[in-house]
Amino acid sequence: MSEFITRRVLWMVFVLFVVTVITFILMHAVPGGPFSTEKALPESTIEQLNEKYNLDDPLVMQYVEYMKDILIPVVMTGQQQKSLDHEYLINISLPFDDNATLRWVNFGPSYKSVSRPVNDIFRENLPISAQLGVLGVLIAACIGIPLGVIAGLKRNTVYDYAGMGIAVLGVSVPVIIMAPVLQYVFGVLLGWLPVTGWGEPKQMILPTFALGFSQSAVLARLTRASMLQVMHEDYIRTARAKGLRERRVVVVHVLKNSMIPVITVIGPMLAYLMAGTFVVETIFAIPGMGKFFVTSITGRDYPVIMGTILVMAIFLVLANVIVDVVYAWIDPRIRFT
Amino acid sequence: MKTVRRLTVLVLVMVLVLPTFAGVTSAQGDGKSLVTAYGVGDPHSIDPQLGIDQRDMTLITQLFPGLTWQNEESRDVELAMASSYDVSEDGKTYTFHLLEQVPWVRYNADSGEVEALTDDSGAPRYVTAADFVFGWTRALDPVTAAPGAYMMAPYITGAAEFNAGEGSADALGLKAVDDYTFEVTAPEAVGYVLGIYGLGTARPVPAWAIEESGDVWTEPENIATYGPFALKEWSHDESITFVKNPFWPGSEGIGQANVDELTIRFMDESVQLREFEAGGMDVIYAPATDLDRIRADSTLSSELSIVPDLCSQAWGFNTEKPPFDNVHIRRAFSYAVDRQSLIDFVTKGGEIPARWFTPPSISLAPTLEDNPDLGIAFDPEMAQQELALGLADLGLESADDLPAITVVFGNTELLSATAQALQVMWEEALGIRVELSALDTTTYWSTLEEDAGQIYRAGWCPDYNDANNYLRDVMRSDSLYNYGHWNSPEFDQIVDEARLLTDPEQRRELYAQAEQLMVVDEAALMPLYWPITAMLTQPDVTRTYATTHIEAYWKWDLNQ
Repeated sequence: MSEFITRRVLWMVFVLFVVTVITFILMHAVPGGPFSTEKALPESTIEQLNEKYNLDDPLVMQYVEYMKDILIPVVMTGQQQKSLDHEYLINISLPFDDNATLRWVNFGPSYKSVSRPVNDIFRENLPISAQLGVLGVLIAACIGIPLGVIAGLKRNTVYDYAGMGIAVLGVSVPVIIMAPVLQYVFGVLLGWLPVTGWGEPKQMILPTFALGFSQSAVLARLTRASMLQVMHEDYIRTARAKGLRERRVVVVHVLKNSMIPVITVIGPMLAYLMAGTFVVETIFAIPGMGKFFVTSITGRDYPVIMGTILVMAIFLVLANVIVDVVYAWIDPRIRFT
Repeated sequence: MKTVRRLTVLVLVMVLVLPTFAGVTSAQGDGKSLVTAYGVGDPHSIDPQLGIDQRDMTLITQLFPGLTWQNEESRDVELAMASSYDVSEDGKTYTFHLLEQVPWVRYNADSGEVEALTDDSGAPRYVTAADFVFGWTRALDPVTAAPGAYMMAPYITGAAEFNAGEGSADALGLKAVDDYTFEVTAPEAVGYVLGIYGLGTARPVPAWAIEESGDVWTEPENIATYGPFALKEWSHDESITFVKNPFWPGSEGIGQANVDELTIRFMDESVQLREFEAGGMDVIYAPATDLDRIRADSTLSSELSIVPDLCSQAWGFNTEKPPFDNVHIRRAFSYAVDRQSLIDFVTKGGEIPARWFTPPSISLAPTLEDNPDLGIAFDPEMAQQELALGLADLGLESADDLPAITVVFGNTELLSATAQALQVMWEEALGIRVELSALDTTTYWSTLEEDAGQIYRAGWCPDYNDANNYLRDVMRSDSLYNYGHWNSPEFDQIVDEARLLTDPEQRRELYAQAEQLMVVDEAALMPLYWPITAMLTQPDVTRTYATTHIEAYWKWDLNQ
């Protein structure tokens, strides 16, 4: 087990390193820079800005500087001037000196919102996206898995057709259509729920449902297919032959085993949704992290691009590790090797 | 064992989910409070010297009024931080007498009050001429990299050199004569300079607050402001909340705030509309895509107001790239555009077809009433004639022999639709099929300077209200924004002369000449339309309608 974890962690570090390098190269390869705007700035101003943000250094140096600020902890002593340069995610007071702090992880400034560090995005916007993502996945699972189970058990009955009908609806009506419709019906016409915002439980209902419903369709179809496959396995016949009650056969043997592909999908789904969902967040004006994936790239806001991509990569890699662990829990045949 | 596992899962779920319901309900004060929206995404900065666009300038003006204020409706220049001013005889030196004892303030989140700030000795800190000198010097200092510095630099002695990193700050024509007297010297006497001295970049800032908090001094806990509103909260990317600053005495141009609290949210326009319909917003910008529906809806249409805009939509010809190095070909393309159809079927906002570049609402621009025949309009026959002349010039048999033509623009919904309409119009009127090339917007802007397309999109929104900003600043042969590299010594001479004249009527006449030369005789630009701003306002709100995109929030009020 510990060997498994060590190997996975090393592998994770390597993957993240590759992700940062590729992202860094790609974003600098795209034409235009953070200061190319509609009303062009004079050349001298752009040079000053490039100097301010060290964008005139060679790319390799910029990369090394960037990674250094994230990875290498620094110890700061004495009174610190407030500045984005001293903006670290982790600040630990050191016991030997009142003013000394250990500071670690600085994702740099945002070029587009000048008084704001990228760390702020992780502190303020990421938790909101994470809440939305977790709730969305929960709703997806609560709707999708039961629908899939019922459809699988009652194959070719009216339950199956109804369940799969809902699933097809979820897949084929994209959230970009469904969310404004929900918003218009429940927010504007009926006035039952708030149209935008995040924080109060009432505000969460529409966005999490919009997000969860579209994802539930994927889970429902997957669960159904997996159930059908598992029900034809030999060990199910054995279980029945042993005289187990149908209920026990279904719950313990069929359901548990048919969850393996579902778990495989839920892991990355959770990772993607927690890192932010552009469409739902835009439509409900939720201050999550989703829109930064888009706006940072169109605006060439390099530190925000790097930061958001890195967070997404970390989530994905972690989700996959967790999924691997859960496999072994569900299916004893799978070992940590 | 199983129960333990189940419990673990349950606890995990609770830990993840429960905090999400511990939401905070927003406290509603007793006073008047308004909610509006302005744009998507976080403002670039509310630091006067670092702000870029009109939204930044709107926010900055509520907090840091300038010497002057360009009235958002009449567009007249009014006094704001200056209570009066004198001009020297040569017209180059302006002496501003400032409002006295206007304190620097900050919102105190603990007490919920706006507080006047004091220095270490307990003496109140007032906005002084020294703060102006500091702010303006900071704007021009190349290290600040202020995006608006180049607009101010030509109007302050020594500023161009200092901003280019050559001169020194001491040589600038800025002087704090005493606490409340601020003197500015310009290298030339220019009639519209009062507007320049009120630009968003030209504002005083508190040196001590910037010293203390560095680049995060604009955050609510660090900032010091003095205008009609104070900064209460800034949830980046989500909203900014202002509270009334009771210490602002009010002046001719910028009065005291009418409402106690104002929240400006940053969100997508179609989302604003749904929130407005649900009653959650007092004032919003109406999305162009929904204008048809808004007009058809009896409630919404009564809340809709359409105001002219100071911007201009034009597309340019790259005069260095064939076939647009030929003036007849350029004219043919411009005559072939049916502006009215473009407005009726593509933009749909009731924009005004542009016969020239500078919108008539800009100070000293030609007006449609006085100049019914000025400029260019849709004329398929003229287009044909000009095409024939152009082909003859180039020694070509037919339009098929012309080089391939590509139209380049940044890929937005509106510009793509416009480009497709133009493509059809040219094919119908001239029989020429152009290629469209839609680039990622940032890529487009970054390539425009070095290598503008044969036909490129070139809109403009003014930095200050004078025709000079449209004609000389954009289209002079050496301008940064003259992407088509049009070079006309005659045009340069007219706009140079007009800039320094003192008689407005003479200037107006010269600008009309310059427009005729630019859009008809030389057809360097193809004016399309003068945009409008569509806004929705709840019936219980009284307000002004800014044509400048810089809103005067202090004038807005809620009728209770």
